[in-house]
Amino acid sequence: MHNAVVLRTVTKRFGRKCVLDGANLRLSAGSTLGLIGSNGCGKTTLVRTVLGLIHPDAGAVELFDLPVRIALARHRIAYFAGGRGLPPSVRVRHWARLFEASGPLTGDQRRLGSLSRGQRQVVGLRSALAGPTPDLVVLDEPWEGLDPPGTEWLTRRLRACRDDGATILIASHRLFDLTDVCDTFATLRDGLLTVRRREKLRQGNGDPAGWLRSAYDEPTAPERC
Amino acid sequence: MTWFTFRFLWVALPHFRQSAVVMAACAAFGVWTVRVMPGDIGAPYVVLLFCQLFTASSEFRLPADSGHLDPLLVKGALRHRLALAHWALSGGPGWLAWVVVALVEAWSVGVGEAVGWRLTSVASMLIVSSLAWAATLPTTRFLGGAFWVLAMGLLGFSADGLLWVQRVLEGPQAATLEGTLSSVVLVIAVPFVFLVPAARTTVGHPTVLTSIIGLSGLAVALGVHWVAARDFAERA
Repeated sequence: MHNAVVLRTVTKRFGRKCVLDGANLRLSAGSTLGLIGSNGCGKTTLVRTVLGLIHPDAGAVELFDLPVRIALARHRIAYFAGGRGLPPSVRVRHWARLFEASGPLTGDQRRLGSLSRGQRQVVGLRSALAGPTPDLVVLDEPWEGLDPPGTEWLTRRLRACRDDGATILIASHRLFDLTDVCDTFATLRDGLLTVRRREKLRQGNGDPAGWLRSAYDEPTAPERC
Repeated sequence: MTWFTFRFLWVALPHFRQSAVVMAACAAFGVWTVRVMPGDIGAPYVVLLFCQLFTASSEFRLPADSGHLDPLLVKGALRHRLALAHWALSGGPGWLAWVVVALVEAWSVGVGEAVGWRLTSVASMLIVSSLAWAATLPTTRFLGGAFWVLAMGLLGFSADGLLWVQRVLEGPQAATLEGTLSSVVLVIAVPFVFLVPAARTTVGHPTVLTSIIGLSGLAVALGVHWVAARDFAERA
């Protein structure tokens, strides 16, 4: 099976803070990874490094066995990192048309900045996931601000993408929703990435959500790298 | 550079549309001036240059750090192409307005007499478009233009500054290295001098012109490099 995402000893510092300390990850095509970790642990940095938005200080990132720059041009990648990433003065219909999204968004005259957090989230997710199934879906806190129907829609959409062969990487604190979609989980703590497959978690203590919650309980290790 | 890059920037960064409106007004004023007062044709270009100081000082850092450009980058847009498209859209409306006014002027007084077609005039527009854009990339909108106006104000309101400007404008120094450097500094500080007919024979020396064009290219190259090398980390 081809690799969709490969991180080789990726290190990233912001000033004196080491956010990623030699992170390694191999995600095969078609798999779904849930990334968890406490606030400020570096989940967003990891996600943005995977997409080439942040340059690592050391190490290498590959998507679909290609350098990120080339992979982004050759593969269909859907990315959404929350409503803050939507320009507030742009009208919903203009944004939706840009991504060839269909449905009610294309007639919505409101500006993105005038929408509630949940509404912005829906617009961003529908735009990002519009069109044919992407090869890679990368979402950062996708369930934040969504109401129950929105949550259901997103989970259904992600499952459909997974069934169509898309590789999915989601950073979130919503453990219950993550376990609904993902077959692999990773915790990020003190710059270190620990990856477990769902089956292994079940063999261990029979409660994947319990292990995921424990990621927040562990004591903080001293500053590394 | 794909069509989508331009379309995305045009939709996602609304200040480009505002610049287009301002420059359309400048073009209308310029055309009116050229038609009504064909002998007094420096004014529309002074207005255009002044507006270009601010429209070229367009916003990049804030939308980039807010994640507004992420969808474009994730679609595979190369960063240096994104930077060049941003430069083109920042200066483009001003250049279009310039061409419109210059065409009407050439039709009114002939290409030989038209201020808008002189190399020195075009060079002044080039340095403003490039330097203001590059200087504003890592800062906030209008800052490049604001600093430029401040520098011109400081020079214009100080006796020493005015004396220096007069000395550079009157002297035949452009043939010497010191004279060339003084002329280049003057044109960078006050690009409007390139529109003054009397100044064309002094600061309009080919070496000065070449230096100004070279510096404009360097400013764009540095801006493109800055965009290509930076992290698009969410900070806002």
